[in-house]
Amino acid sequence: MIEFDNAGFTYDGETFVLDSVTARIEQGEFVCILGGNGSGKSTLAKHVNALLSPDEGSVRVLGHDTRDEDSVYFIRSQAGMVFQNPDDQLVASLIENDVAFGPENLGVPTNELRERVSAALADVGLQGFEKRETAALSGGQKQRVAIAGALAMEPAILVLDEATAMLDPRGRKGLMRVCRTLHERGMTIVMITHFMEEAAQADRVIVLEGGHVAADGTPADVLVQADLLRRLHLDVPFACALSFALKRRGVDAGVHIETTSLKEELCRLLSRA
Amino acid sequence: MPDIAVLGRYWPGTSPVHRMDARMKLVLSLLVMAAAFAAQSFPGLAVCAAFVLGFFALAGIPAASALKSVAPLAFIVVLTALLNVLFVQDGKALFEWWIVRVTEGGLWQAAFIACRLLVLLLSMSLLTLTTPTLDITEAFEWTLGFLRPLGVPAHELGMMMGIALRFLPQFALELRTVHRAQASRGATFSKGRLRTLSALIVPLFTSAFRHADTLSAAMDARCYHGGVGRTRLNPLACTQLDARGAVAVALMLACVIASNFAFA
Amino acid sequence: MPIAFEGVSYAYVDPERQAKSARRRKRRRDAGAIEEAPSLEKGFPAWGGSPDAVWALADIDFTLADGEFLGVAGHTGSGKSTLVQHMNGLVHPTRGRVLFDGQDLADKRVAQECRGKVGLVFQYPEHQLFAATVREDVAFGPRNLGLSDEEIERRVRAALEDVHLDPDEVGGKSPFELSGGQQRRVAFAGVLAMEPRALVLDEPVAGLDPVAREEFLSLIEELHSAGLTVVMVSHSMDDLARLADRMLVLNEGRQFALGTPAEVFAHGDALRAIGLDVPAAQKLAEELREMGVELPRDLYDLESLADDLAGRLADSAPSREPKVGEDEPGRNASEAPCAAGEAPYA
Repeated sequence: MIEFDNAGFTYDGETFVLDSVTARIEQGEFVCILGGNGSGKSTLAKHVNALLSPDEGSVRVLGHDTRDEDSVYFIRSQAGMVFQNPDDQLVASLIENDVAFGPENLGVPTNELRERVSAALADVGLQGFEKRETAALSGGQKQRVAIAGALAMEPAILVLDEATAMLDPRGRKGLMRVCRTLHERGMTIVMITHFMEEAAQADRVIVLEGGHVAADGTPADVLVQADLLRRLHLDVPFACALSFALKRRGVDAGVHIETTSLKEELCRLLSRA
Repeated sequence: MPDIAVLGRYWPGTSPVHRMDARMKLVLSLLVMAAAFAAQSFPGLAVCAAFVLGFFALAGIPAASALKSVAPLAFIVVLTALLNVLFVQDGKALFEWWIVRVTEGGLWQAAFIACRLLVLLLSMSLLTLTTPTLDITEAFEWTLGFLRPLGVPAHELGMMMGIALRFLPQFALELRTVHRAQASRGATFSKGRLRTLSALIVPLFTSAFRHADTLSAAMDARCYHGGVGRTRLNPLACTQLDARGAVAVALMLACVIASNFAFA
Repeated sequence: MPIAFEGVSYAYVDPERQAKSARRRKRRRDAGAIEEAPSLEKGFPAWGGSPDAVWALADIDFTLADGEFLGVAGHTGSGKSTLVQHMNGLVHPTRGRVLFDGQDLADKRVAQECRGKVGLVFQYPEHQLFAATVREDVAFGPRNLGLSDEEIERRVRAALEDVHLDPDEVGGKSPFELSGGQQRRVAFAGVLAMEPRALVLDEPVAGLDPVAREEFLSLIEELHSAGLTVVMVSHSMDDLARLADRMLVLNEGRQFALGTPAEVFAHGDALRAIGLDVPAAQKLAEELREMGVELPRDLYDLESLADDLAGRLADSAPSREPKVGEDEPGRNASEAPCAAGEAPYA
């Protein structure tokens, strides 16, 4: 569904921000992309939405090449995008107008627009907020409106480019909940983040380093590679860090990325003891 | 978040004024402005002001908030009034000092111009307070539509205005934050020195550029490609309400013209 | 005792006027003169929050001791930012008073004087950079204090060194050429150059990546151990538990809890009830305790929790350990690199 084939991209013609990236994301996957500053993760996200197109190799979304001018609007309508700063991406001052902005651009008829707006707002848990002012919302709510704006185009893919970075813990959790619900209904989710607790909830984690794919696999495989994560200026999930700390003290409770499973293991060990 | 009444903010509501067609509101507020210019006497202006404030009341916006909404532009009113005080030299001299000579006629003229400007600003503010920005955008586009054959990018101009209005409240907040941050570093803005002023203005500019960058990407990402083929969630439609509004403004115009004759 | 809050309440709007206009609106609505907008029906005004919440802060009462590290926690909209802006007289209480060295900050002269002594760092302070060079930007504060050129130069150098930037290397550069993390350091230096006695930080590490966050926190720790009083607003309970001597938890403008991190986090349920978290290690310790595991300490971090758990397991079943290792074959491979590195949750 999303295919990066040896994709390379450069802003200045010299340094490649993306350097022969090859990856394939299937329909219905929940993928987290991790990486430090300058690893190319935001550039990668913009390729999925055809905001950028590769200088080398190719990127295909739903079978359409992103360099193909005729497919650009199709790809953009199928790959909704949410950006980092909640204050920068809302176009209108009323929520309903903002959510309708995308489908309006696609030329969706008026009576259908109304349905799409209320359905999209319901999907992000903001039903009944149509007539509210966007300026009155919290950061987390603004990001949810931004998601609704993408959903109203009825996309198959949702790309979140560090959409949680500027939110407080409550806003982050709310956004994650929305993403998981959408994922359960079959939406493909590509999430760029540096929060480990979010990455731990994904089906798959891709780690970028200097424009290359440095690791690609399930959270349980990737997030335990402590040396790699530290080299890339990333945290290790708490459960994993504690597992290692216990190991250093001679206790092997396995390596866990989620606290729940570590807790169960500890209880098992303690009760056997 | 504290309530800041700013010109350009939308005041949500369902009053008849809110429900009117944005195009009609735009045209009518232009007419009210024209009437304020046509008024040659205080009674004429008073009629205009009464109508504008009446519309504010109908829209459920308290008079104090209405006045507050134009407060950021009050300096224009004050400046124009001052210029009039200084340069209009009719009638009895009330006060003389060096080259400054304040006359009775000058004061009257200044007061008159100030009131006229205030009515103009209020009618502009009424439009933006009761109309969502994208509707203003479209009304603007429609109004400029007759210029399109001449190559005027009506849609783009309308969109620009809509976005400017959408970001006004945000810039007001950001400016306040920057102001407080620089005040925390001991800046006093009352002296108005260039360096202290640039400490306010440069951050505001960089913020505008930062916003512009993401906003344009976000609009691209949502398939924005100009006005061609765009549909609308709330297509503008004239109703009986608009007809009533038009009648009201027509009556006001008549009153103003009549008062021009009566008090000429 | 530099800063004391005495029954401080702060209202966005004049409470009396608010009540009056509410009465007027009600009268007019009853008379059918205005329709209430549907978006306002549920009681949310245009700017969020509930309309009864006229008070951004209510009855805040505490004293910040010299040399203390006070952590302030609470949700967005709980009044944290408003609270910290009271500390150098930017915002004045509607009721109650804020004393700085015993003098009321409502007095303009006291407030102006206090600005040199209480350094306030706003959220995303890099957005307030404006000058052509880093040196000029950092010099803005000292210049406003009316210091001599030599003194300004000395303070700029010292402040840049404090934030681990080389004055000779970056001093002449434009702040806008620097990376995001460096810009924040410059903005931070701009406040330090005032040579304040107390530093008030509103979410200093928001939006930074994990390494930059860690560096910044240790910088703050350094400044505090050099004698600065620090007030830090943060969403991260882990950071607050680690750094703060005392914590103030705000909820809807009210003082919800005030005490040492151990005292505050001992009531995990109460915090969760208002939607706040406790540090990850403390949370796990609490859950294990509920399942009957004996864990004696009041406040746990990663290392101390690992110590106590290892201790309990070693006490009771030292002979079992090799067998546990066999349960998870292949996992041991990842042990070596981690043992060499430092744990992020120190």
